[in-house]
Amino acid sequence: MDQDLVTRAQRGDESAFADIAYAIGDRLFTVAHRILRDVDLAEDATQQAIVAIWRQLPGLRDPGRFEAWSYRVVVNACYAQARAERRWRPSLRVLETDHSAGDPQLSVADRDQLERGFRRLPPEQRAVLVLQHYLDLTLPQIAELLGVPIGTVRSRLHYARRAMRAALEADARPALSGSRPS
Amino acid sequence: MTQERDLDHVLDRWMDDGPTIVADRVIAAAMTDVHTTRQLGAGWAPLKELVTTMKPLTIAAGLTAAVVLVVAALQVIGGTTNVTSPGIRTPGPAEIVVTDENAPEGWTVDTTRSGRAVLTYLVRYGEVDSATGGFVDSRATDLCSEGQGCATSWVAVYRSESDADAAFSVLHAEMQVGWGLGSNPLNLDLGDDEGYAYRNNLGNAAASHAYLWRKGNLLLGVVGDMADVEDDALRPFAEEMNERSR
Repeated sequence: MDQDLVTRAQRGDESAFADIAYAIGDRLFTVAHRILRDVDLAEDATQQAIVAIWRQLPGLRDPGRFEAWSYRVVVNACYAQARAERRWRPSLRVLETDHSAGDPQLSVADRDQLERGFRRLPPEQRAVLVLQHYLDLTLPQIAELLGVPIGTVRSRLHYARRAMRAALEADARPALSGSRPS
Repeated sequence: MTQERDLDHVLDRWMDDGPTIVADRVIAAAMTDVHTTRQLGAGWAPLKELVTTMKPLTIAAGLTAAVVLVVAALQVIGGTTNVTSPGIRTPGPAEIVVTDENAPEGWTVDTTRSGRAVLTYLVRYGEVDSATGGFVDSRATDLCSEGQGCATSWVAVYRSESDADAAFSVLHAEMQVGWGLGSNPLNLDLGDDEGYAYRNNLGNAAASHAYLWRKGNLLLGVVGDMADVEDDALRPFAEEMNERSR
């Protein structure tokens, strides 16, 4: 990210910030979608993250750290979205998996089980999985980005991986969410 | 070990699936919000530069003049107006916000604002209508201290307790989502009906603190600027406002 743009936006230059928002929008959305597994929620989280970035930007001490900082903001927005989602929607619902898309080396059953297992994880565990497997961050990098001790990251990762492994190894049991719409 | 690598491989591939491009309307909507959203601490930047470049005697003279003007203005615009509604009597917002007369030592009022527009300081412009049911009046004072940054003392009065409660829910969500302050807000313990202390948890950014609480039909808030206003510095503001709202 161009540091001059960040510095101008820190001083309240909306035009500079618009350039930043369009430059980072896709990355923020992609991370939000991997955590929330829902396009509408990911769009809301992205929008909220961009506004929060604008609000908090004058306090960013090192413009060179903008990118990592912006990921932290979007992860926080995902936590907020996940909490709101929990209040408003039932915890079990029909999965909206597009079976025609995705990696052909992953079976439909695998993707369904991964989806199901991932949705059962708390947002904090989802986030560490996404940061490790989608952004390829190391444990120390994840700890710094999230602002938590490395032991916390390790613990969240341990429980998340155990749950995902269990989901993959589970037999193809009938979905708890009821029958799919025909 | 092989199983671990298999799981890594599966998770890597699965995470790669999915959309990677955000709709332009999402960024456009965010920029509409940005256009009407004040940056934390932005309003203070020129004041801080002024304070750091001026000589102490000039600062003292300026502050004295400002105090005189504020006191005079408060007398003219009726700072002791009480807001009443059926069955409920509360001090008016002007009687509760922190002023030069009762500010902690070293803090002075920079600006005073009142009316519905004050709500937009805490609530995003696009969301403000959801916090105006039963809204009566509000007032905010922005105070600065040379060594400790700046803070805002904020009060809104609503027609009834239930109106204030509904607005509190909006503001509580706004503090967390809109401002990105604290995923785990702490109870304030100010003898309030409901209230929280918030702190941003964005790494590499200066700490930002805020209090928001409700007492009957009143909403009260203290928001610290980004200039490292510590939690301890905000508490006296909250306690002073709490005392004056009785």
